[in-house]
Amino acid sequence: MKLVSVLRIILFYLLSVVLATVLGSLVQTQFNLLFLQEMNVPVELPTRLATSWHDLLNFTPLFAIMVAATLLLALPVAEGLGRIFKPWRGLLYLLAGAAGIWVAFTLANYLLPMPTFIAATRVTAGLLCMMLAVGVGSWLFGRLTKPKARRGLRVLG
Amino acid sequence: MLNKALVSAVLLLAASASVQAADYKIEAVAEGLSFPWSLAFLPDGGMLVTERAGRLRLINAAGELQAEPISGVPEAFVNSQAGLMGLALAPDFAESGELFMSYACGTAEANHTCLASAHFNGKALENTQEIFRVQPAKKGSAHYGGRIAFLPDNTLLLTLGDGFDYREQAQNTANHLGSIVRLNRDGSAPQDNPFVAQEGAQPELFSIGHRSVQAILYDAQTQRIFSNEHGPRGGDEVNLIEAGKNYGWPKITYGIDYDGAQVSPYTELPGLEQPLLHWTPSIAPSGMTLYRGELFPQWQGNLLVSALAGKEVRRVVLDGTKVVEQQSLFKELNARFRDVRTGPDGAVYLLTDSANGSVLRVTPQ
Repeated sequence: MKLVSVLRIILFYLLSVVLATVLGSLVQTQFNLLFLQEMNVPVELPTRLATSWHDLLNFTPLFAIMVAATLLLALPVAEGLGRIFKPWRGLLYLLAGAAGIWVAFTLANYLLPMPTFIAATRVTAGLLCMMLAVGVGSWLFGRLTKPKARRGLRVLG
Repeated sequence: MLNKALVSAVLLLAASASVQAADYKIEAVAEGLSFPWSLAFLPDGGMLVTERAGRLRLINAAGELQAEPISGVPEAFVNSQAGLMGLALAPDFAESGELFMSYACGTAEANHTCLASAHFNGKALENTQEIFRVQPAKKGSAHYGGRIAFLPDNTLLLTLGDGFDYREQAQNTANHLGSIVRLNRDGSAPQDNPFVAQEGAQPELFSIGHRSVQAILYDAQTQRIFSNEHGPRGGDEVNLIEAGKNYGWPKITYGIDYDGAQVSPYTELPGLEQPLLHWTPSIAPSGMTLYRGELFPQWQGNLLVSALAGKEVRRVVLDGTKVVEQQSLFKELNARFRDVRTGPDGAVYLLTDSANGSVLRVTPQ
C-alpha cells in the first residue's frame, strides 16, 4: 500500500473519531439536560448551548479515547464484512461502530468503580442515541473509503 | 501497613519539617483491621469498630484488639462500597446496652441500606434485628451513606446515598434514596418528621437532595446538625442540616461527572440549600467530628473532617456557620482516612481505610 493511501486512511479514521466524539458529546448533554427538565429545572437555549460547549471541552477527552479504541477494532471488522456483503456496506459500518461502543460502555461499567460511567446511557433511549452517534462516525469512514464502483459480474449483491 | 514503628518514624521526620506535626503525636491503638469504617467508645474505656467486610471488632479497655469478631452481627452484602458501615451506641447504652449498625443488605442486583439494632452484652450481640430498610432496592454497590447520629429527643438520623445510577431520585420524596432519614429507636417514623404530612412522601425523610452522605453529627452546644457528602468530580460538601430542607443534588452541584460532563449547569436555584463549604477538587470527606475535647484547646469548636482521596483530616474553623479557615492535618501519614472521632479522653481517633487498616490515637506532643 502506498504511503499516501495509508495517510489517507489515517486521516479518514481521525475524521470519523472526531465526528463520533462530537456527536456523542452533544447527545449525552441533551439527555443530561432532559433529566433535569424532568425534575422541573428550567433549561433555556443559552444554558443548553453553554452546557453543550462545556461538555465539548470536558467530556470529549475521555470519550474520544473510548471512540478511538472502539473504531480501531470495529472498522476492520466492518470492512471485512462489507467486502462479503457489499450492498450492506454502509449499514455494516454503522452497526459495527454502534455495537463497538456498546461493548466499550459495558466494559467501562464493568471495570470502573461507578455502576454507569456515562449518565446518558442509564436510559435505553440515551444508550441507543450514543450508539447511533458512534455508528454515524463509523459509517463516515466506510463512505470515505468506499471503493469506486466497477462494472462487471458481482458475485454477492 | 501502619505499624507503630512506622508511625513513630514518620512523625519524627514530619516533626523536623513541620511545626504543625510537632504539636501532636500519633500512636496505633489497633492494626490489621479490614477497611475499618466506624468507631464507638464504650463506657468501660473500650471501643467497637466496624469492618466493611462485615465484622464488628472489640478493643478492650486495655487497648487490646480481640482476635475473634463479635458474633450476632447482621449479614451484610459486601462488595466495593457495600458492607458493614455505621455504628452508634444508644444514648442510654450504659444501661440498655443497645447499639445500632448500618449495612448494605441484599444482593448485587437488588440491595438497600439497612439499619439494625442489637443488644451488646460485653462479648456478643443479642436480639439483632433489622429495623429499617431503604426503599426501593437498587442495583450496584455504590452510595449507601450509612452514618448514624442521635438527637437529644432520642431519635436518630441515618444518612443515605443516591445509589449512583439513581441520582434524580434524591429529589423524589416518594422514596428514601439520596436523603437523611430520622427514625425512632424501633425504626418507625416520628410523627413530627417534616414530610409526614406530604401525600405520597416517605414519612422517615428528614432532608432530601443528597448524593452520598458520609458523616453526620449533632452539636449539643449550638444545637446544630452538620453533615458532609461526596460530590462527583468536585463539589464535596459540608452542610448544615435542617428538617425538611432540600440540599439540591442533582439539580445544583459544584462538581461535574466523572466523565467530564456537567451534571447540572446550576450551582444555585431557588428553594435549594447552599453548602456551608464545598471542595473542588474533591477530598472525598468521610467521617467528621466537632471537637469539644480538652486536649487540643486550639481545635476547640472546629470541625475535623477525615478524607479518603485527600489523605488528610481537614480542620475547619467556624465562626458561627461561616468557615473562616482550613488546615490540613496528618498528611504526613499518607493514609486514606475513613473516620475521625473525639474520644471521651479528648484525644482524636482516626480510622485508616485499607485492607490493613488501623485505629490511631492523636494526643498532644
